[in-house]
Amino acid sequence: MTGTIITILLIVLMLALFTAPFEALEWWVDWFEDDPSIAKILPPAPKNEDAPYYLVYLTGIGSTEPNKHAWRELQLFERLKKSLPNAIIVDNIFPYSMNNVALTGNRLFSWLWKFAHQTRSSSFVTPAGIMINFRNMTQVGVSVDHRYGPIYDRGSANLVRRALENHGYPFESNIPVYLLGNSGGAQIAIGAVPYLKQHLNGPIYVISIGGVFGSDRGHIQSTHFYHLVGKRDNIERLGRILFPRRWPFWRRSHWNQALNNGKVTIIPVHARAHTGRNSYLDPKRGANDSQSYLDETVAVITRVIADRSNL
Amino acid sequence: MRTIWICVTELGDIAYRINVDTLSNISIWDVIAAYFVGQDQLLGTMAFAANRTAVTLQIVFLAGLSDAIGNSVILLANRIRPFRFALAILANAMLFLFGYLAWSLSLLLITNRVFGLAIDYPFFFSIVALSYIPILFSVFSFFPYFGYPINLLLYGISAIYLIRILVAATELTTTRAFFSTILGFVFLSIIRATIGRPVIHFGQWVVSTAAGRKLERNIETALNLQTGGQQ
Repeated sequence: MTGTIITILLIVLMLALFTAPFEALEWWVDWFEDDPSIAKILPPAPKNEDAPYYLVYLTGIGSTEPNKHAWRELQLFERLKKSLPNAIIVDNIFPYSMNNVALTGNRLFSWLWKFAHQTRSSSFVTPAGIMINFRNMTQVGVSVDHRYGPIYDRGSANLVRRALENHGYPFESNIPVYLLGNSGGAQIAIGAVPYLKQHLNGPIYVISIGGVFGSDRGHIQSTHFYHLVGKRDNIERLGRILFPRRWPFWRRSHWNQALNNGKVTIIPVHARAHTGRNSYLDPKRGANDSQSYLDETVAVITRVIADRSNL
Repeated sequence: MRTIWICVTELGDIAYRINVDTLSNISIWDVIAAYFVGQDQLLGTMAFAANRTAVTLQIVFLAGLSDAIGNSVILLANRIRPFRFALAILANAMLFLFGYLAWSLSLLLITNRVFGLAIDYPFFFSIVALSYIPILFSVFSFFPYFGYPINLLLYGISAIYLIRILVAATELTTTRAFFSTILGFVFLSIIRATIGRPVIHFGQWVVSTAAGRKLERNIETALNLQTGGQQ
């Protein structure tokens, strides 16, 4: 019985891995002539020439939809709006889909994701949570892969570009764009940079909140890369191990070159977990009574943006 | 002539005897199953089977098909249509078969000329084909991130397995089998880079014809070509 269950799980795992690049590849080859639904979801808005900067949020792997965020993420947006009142925050991107289609949206297995979404509790360590995380984690793997990455990252850049258009970003301006990547979202952000650069005149900064990412051209090509690292964030640490090109041994890797060229700033914070309680976005707990982990994260982001934008 | 294949285990026991005259046809699945059971049994089941040529070609063709699917991203980067994609995959699998022939000939030449191995040619071709069994799993190189290392690993296992087979089925020692493989690879690489170039160009032409357009082999260049340098 146990053997059968393990065999079934292995088959499902292999199928999930095998089909992981399908969405990005289909976006590229367009064999099924997809409805360009992105244009409907994110129609261009009138240009906003007065915005000092744009902050594009790329969510972590626990997400299922572009327009629904975890309550801790909503808290993050609230605090960011307070501390950066002039910021235009772009928060309607689901970075694990080229077409910004929610897992629960128009998909073959949407019923499965709806079920997973409904049964998932606040903890990510449930079968449903693991399933969603694994699905999105495979997309991070697609972005890191040097064969699929150029396709996936083009798709992500396209998505960010449309989301910026949707928020009135004037592409002929020099308005800075900050890509705020949470967990796996940091890989999506850094992967998109080289392609996004083709459309933007202004600088592109990437701020990673406990990001799990490989060594990418984007590390060199972004104006600067900020990486918030929690004291006991084991998932972030796992990323450093899982992606060999981030090991100091590979001196010529993009990551190590960016580090050597002073393009990377690693910012230690007090967060003691990657997600959930005690994580970077926890508004209730903190290293001391006066500042929660979320407060600290927001303070760091605010300081980075203030420094860069001369506020 | 009646030939008896005797398989001796590492402990010196006679594991089984196979009378070639009495061997019936085997399927590729028998061979794959035998691969997981043990090398000696595998040799016994395939190398002397009546239909070994057919099974040899099946193994190599399926390995080629698996490899072509596993590494099909380059075809997709060139944005070819589904029918052309299928044709290009088949063309790649066929070319893989020719690659196997070239590799076997190269090995045969080295083992024969350098190490003086006298061997029945069809038998030699069959045992080289056995080393392609790991590559049947090359379709897993389609996996994101882990796919590329998996591909390298499978080719590594295939090379090690080839050495083991050469030692088990011929009179070559491990050292000679190892150097045969290395020298065979070097020899084939030299041929490919020199007088074999027109053949390689022909192969690329075949795949491009199947794909319906000239294929760009570098992914980033292929993507840029499709979009005129823009995303």
